[in-house]
This record gives sequence, structure tokens and C-alpha cells, in this order.
Amino acid sequence: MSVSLYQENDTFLHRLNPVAKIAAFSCFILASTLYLDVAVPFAMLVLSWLIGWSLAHISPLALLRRLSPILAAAVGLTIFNTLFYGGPRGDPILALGPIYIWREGLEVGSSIGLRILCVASYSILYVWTTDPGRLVASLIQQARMPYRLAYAILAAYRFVPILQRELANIQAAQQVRAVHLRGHGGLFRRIVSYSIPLLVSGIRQAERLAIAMDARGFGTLPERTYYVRTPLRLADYAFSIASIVACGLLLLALGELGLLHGFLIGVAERVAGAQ
Amino acid sequence: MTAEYGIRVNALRFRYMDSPTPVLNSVDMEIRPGETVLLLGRSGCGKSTLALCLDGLIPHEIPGDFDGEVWIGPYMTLHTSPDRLRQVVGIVFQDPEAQLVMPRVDEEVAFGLENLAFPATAMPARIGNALALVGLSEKAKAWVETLSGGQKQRLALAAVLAMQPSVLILDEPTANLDPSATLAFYRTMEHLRHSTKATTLLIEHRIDATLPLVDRVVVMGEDGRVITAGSPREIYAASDAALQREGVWVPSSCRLAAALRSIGWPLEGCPLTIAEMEQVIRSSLVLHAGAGASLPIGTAADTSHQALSGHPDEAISVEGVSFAYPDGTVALRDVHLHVPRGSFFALVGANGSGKTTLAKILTGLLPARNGKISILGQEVTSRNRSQISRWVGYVFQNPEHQFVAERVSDELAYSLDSQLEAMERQRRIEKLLAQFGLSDERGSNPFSLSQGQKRRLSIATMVAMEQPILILDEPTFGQDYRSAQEVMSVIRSLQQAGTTIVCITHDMQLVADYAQEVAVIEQGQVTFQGSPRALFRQPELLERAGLDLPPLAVLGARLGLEGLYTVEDWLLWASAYAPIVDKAHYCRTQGW
Repeated sequence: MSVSLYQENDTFLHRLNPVAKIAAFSCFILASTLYLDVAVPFAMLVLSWLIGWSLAHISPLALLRRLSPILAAAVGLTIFNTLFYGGPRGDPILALGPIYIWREGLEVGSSIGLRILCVASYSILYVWTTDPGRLVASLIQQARMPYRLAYAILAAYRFVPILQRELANIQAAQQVRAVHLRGHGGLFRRIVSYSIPLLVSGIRQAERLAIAMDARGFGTLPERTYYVRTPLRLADYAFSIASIVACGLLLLALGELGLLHGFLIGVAERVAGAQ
Repeated sequence: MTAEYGIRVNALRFRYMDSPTPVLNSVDMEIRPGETVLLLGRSGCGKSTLALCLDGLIPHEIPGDFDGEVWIGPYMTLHTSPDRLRQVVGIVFQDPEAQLVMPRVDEEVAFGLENLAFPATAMPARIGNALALVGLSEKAKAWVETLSGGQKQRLALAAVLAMQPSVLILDEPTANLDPSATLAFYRTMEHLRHSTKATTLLIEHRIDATLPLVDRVVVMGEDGRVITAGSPREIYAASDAALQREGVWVPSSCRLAAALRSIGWPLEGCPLTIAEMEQVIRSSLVLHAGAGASLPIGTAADTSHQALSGHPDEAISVEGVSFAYPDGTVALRDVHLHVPRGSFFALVGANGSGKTTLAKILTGLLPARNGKISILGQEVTSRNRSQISRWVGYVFQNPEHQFVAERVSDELAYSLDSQLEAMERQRRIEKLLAQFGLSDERGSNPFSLSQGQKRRLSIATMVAMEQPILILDEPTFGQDYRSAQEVMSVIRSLQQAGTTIVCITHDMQLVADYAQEVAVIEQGQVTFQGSPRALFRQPELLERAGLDLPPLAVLGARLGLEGLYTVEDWLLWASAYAPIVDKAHYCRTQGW
């Protein structure tokens, strides 16, 4: 269930303003995607584990376990991009019959794979430590999102488990009609036979929820008040600023160590070198 | 409460945008300030539409042809702004899933207050009061997802109460709840009647628990008009037979009183509750048999519910089966169950006790963990599990989940063996349509049928497959009297034709009236299997399992009479023992 991904606790990361947390985490994610390079996304990935461990008492291992479904996708992407690398390159480091593997290709491939992991890692850490009610409140209060939109997001969020339950019901009900044993059509027909009742029930549930929200006065006034307050505290400013500074310092340090192969810089250098 | 407002409805007509005929036809109604009114009528007669009109959602949010006037105190809904209306009227809907918006309990209660720009500083006090009124104070910080259905409905009520409306509308608030949760909900309502003065309109099908709470009853007919209105006593004294014809439930006590009168027992008045019925019977005995007459003690003969021990072969046998869901929740623990072939078998228990999980295992939808299951003497293994559907049919609680076709007749054709030749296929479809009273609907879309029709169609699709065992999940759930009777008579005739019926239900009167065997599931364990009569002799077991005695059995217990659980039991008892019954008349009416 989607809601259960949030794990209630009272840690620094949990207490952080949800929008401030978005700002900080986006900064790390942005840094990891700016450079087509292995070192930066790897550093950012490790940083996400450190943040989770030190600020939310989430062990890196637990975070990795959550990452495992995405790990498969990341490995797939790494292999694909390594094999089908078409950019500037030196000599192949490995030849498997007609397939060549270049160092640059391996770098680009693993960089892409690591970036996927990095984005996923921060996202999981975010959802894990962010109360959905506070998220909506701070999207409205700090990010100035129109409240109708924020609540539409929340309603969609509430809907995921409801639809999952409905789908399981429909599948079971049709299974007892032995729909799965019927020959012609197969998978396509099965999807159609699930989707019509699911659509009907989804629309009906959405209508009911909309009426229930209207009945409670949702949208009758241009401005509403908020029970859950998410004011920005000193810690929120400190964490956001520290994140930006940390990103900058990390990039600088990697650059000094010569580990930074900036995507644009690298291309420019190679173009220059080729001439 | 802010102010005491009544409700006045003048010549109200309403037609939904996408419908050719109006739902409400010139409704006139008045509810006085502070009154609690019960609105009765068949499903689909327009009760919910009327509720939406009173709430002002019609015409403000739901478009259609609106004509006439609805007044809430001094406000005419058509000309009152929605935010003003929301402060005076609140509504609780039937479905606990689809009316809660926020992730947490306290946030849910706050939602309405926030929408009306209520000052945030004053919210905690309001929320605390509202939650205390419904007995959910401890759950203030809990996740809504983790609440039971009954708690969710009380939360929905708290969320409305927090807005302190003068008018409260409850549209079948307990239709999705089990008996103990229903009881808890109405206890809350009773408590509210004393602590708030809200004018209340209540819509319910089942009325045994609600009648003591209401001042007046309004009955709507199928044409969308108010047929009759008055105090419960006036309504039921005048026309309980007519009300049953109208498809409306009548309190068990009224039903029994009418039956006893029909065999010549001159009962006085109109007993609305079991307590009143007890008084009526006692005083009638004193009046007619002399002051010294003691109550005839007796147990009715077990004629209608003979024990099935004479049939050794079993339709379903379950030995030591357990089941846990992937997330680790243990749903069933070492379950033993024996369903005699050809019986009407009831499976009862509170919500979440494991009834549906067991049914899913019996239909092969879920695999059993350890233990042994045999269907018609054949053991179920992982290899033949997918074949169980040849032997066991399963009618789900929500009929819509079962529909796969766009027409009623196609729905039935889908269930028939594809080897059948066209003529024979057509003949069978026609037969099923007639048997289930759906002949006029053959071309309709299954999703557009009424609740009762949908239920009958979902049973028909299973019957078409001609399985020897049929499992039904809450077949009378949320239905009016007439639909429920129609469904039950279809099920009974199937049983008479030889089908083994396993019926999952909360309705203990249904168990008393129809079942030959009953099993109680309590937290994943079968704690009882035997005849309904044996079960009703163990009230402490029922209470522990979150179940009630059937109302007529409660009456028997109050009078110190054992074994009187159905109207037939009482008639038999009365004809045999009560000195005042005209026995000759009874024999005539029973055709003896």
C-alpha cells in the first residue's frame, strides 16, 4: 500500500519542513544529473545513505532493500547504454565477438545507472520520512500551490490503495467465472474484462469522493485555514543551505582531485581534441 | 448547536441530467426543529437524491432539473451560498471508503473546518469534542487506513459534527457495517440525541435498531413521492402489510404481532420494539388467561430445522487449514469445517474475522497453507486448484465485480458451456431470465440495473454454470425488504433443487430463518459449528464473536422461552400452548 511507505518516527528528517526537504533533496539530485560522470552520482548516492542513517535512523541496508526493484532497472540501463554507446571513444577494453565495450561507454552506462539509483534513493528517503498530510499543507503554505491542486494530489494518493483493492476483487470475481480458462482473446481480452468494471468502479468512487468533499464545503471559499501548520524553522533553512553548500564543496573537491568529467566540458574537450 | 432549524420541502421535483425520468416527483415534507426522522423506501426510490437536495449539494454541485423549494430554517437552498449551507447542514454517506479525504483522523475532522476558514487556533478544541462525541478520542493521531469500517463511519460522523450543523443527514450510515459496529454507531447516535439538538434525517433499510431513536417516519414510494408520514406507531399500526408490499422493512416485533394476530391471538397495540412486544404478550396473557396465568414454557418442535446428521456425505470438508497473507497477517488458524451436501450452511462472524478469506480458499482463489480441503469427496491439490470453479460457484458481495458483458443476456451466455448449440443456449438463457425475474432487462447493461437486479443477475451467472456448490457473500447486503426476500427465495429454491448453499452473512435473522448448519468464525478460528438453535443457546459465544441474537430470539429469552427463533417457531408455540389462540382458525390458515 502506498501510504504504508511512510514510516512514522520523530527524527530530524521527519521533522523537517516537507518543502525545505524537497529543495535540499532536489539539489542533490540535480548535482548528480549535471555531470555525465561516475564519481558525482556515486558520491550523491552514498550521501543519501549517510543522510538517512544519521538524520532519520534508516540503515543503508534497509534503504537498499527498498531500492532493489529499481536496482534491476538501473543495471539494465547500464548494460544497454554500455553496449550501444555511440559517442567519442578510444580503444575498446573488451571485445565479445562482434560486440565491443569501450571505457567511455562503460562510464556513460554506469553513470546513467547510478543516476537512476540516486534519484530513486532520495525519492524513497523522502516518502519514507514525509507525512503526506504535512506535505500537502506545506505545498500550499510554503510552495504556494493552489489548494485545489494540492488536494487533488492527496485524493489521488488516497485512491491508490482503494483501486488496488478493487482490482483484486474484480480479478477474483472473474476468476471464479473461469474467465482465465477461456481460450480466444487471451491476455488482451482479460485486460479488457478487468478494465471495464475497474473503470466503472473507479469513476463511481471518484464521484462519491468528490461529492463527499463538496459536502464538507471544499472549494466554497477562495481562502481556507489550515489545521496542520508547517512553518519554516531555523533547522529548515540551515538544512537547505547546508545541502547547497555541501553539493558545491563536493563538486569542487572532486574537480580538484581530477575526478570530475563534466558532461559538457568533456564533450567540448573531446571536440577540441579531435580538431 | 448554532441554531435550531427545521426542514421544509415544497413540491420538490428533480431529474438528473442524464436521465429521462425525474427521480423526485413533487415531494412535500416537513421536519420540525430538533426532530429525528427516519426516511424509508425501496432502493432506487429517490431517498439518496432527496438527501442530496436537503444538503444543498443538489442543485449547487450536482446538475439537473430542479424545481420546487427546500428550506433549511430561514435558508432556501437554491438561493443560499454553499459555504453558508455547509455551516447549517451536514451529511454522512454510506460508503466509509469514499467519504474520507485526509490521511489522519484529526486532519479528517479538521478538513471541513478548514474549508469554512474556521480559525486554526480554535480547531483542536472542536476536533477533540467531536472525536469524544463518537468515542474516537484515542484515535486522534491514528491513520484513517488503520480504522475498522465502523470506526470510519463514526469518524465521518465526527467530521460533520465538528462543523456543528443544525441539520444532520445520515444516508444509510450502517449499510456496510457488521452488527456490533452498527450497534456501536447507534449507541453513538442515541448519545448525540441527548447532547446535541440537531434536526436529523436518517435513511436506513434495517430498522430494528433505529426505530427507538426516531420521532417520525416518512415513507417514499417508488414513484418518488412521499406516501405516508407519521410517528412510528401510527405508520406501523395503520399499514405494516402495505409497507411490506412497498418493499420496506417492518420491525421484527410488528411482523410477529401481525402473524400472531392472523392466527387469532388478539394482541393489543403496535409493538415497535422487542421490549414493547414482551409487554404486549405478557399483558395479553394476563388479560385473557386470568391474572394468575403463568407463561406457558415450552420449546417448539424442531420441524423446520432438522439436524442433518443423517446425511453422511459432505460437500466441503476442511481439516486444519491455515492461511496468512504475504504481509504476515494471519487470517485463518487451524480451521475445521464440514458442510453437509445439500444443506443451507451459514458462515457468520464479525468483519475481518476471516469469513471471506475462507470462502476464497474454498473457491480456489487463494491457496490453503497446510491442512486438507476436500470438495465433494475429492481432495484439493495445487494441481487441480484452478479447476475448483467447476464445482464451486462464488457470488461476491459487490455484484458489479462479476460482470464482464455489456448486456444482461450476454452475461448469462458467457457462463454457459461454449459447446452448447445455439438453440439450447437460447433456451437456457430464457429460462434463467425468467427464473430470476430479469426477462424485461435482457437487453440492459448489467451496470444500469437496480441493486436487487444486479444481485439476482450475479447469482444467475453462477447458477448458469450449474455448479453443485454455491457460496454467497452477504446476499441481502444493503437491500430493501422486497429485494432481500426475492433473493432469498431464489436461493432457497436452488437449495431445494439440490445445490449446497454456503452463505456468508451478518444477518442473524437470516441464519434463523434459512440455515440448517452454521459456523462461527472468530479471529481466524472456527469456534462453533452446529445447528442455529444450538448456537442461539450460547449468547456469550455470539457476543464474543461480535454477533447478535436474532431479534425474535431476544424476545424469547426475555419471556423465558427457549427455542423460539423464527415467526414459524412462534406460531407453532402459540398454537400449541397459548390458551387464547383460536386453534381451529390456526389450523385453517396453515392448511391442516
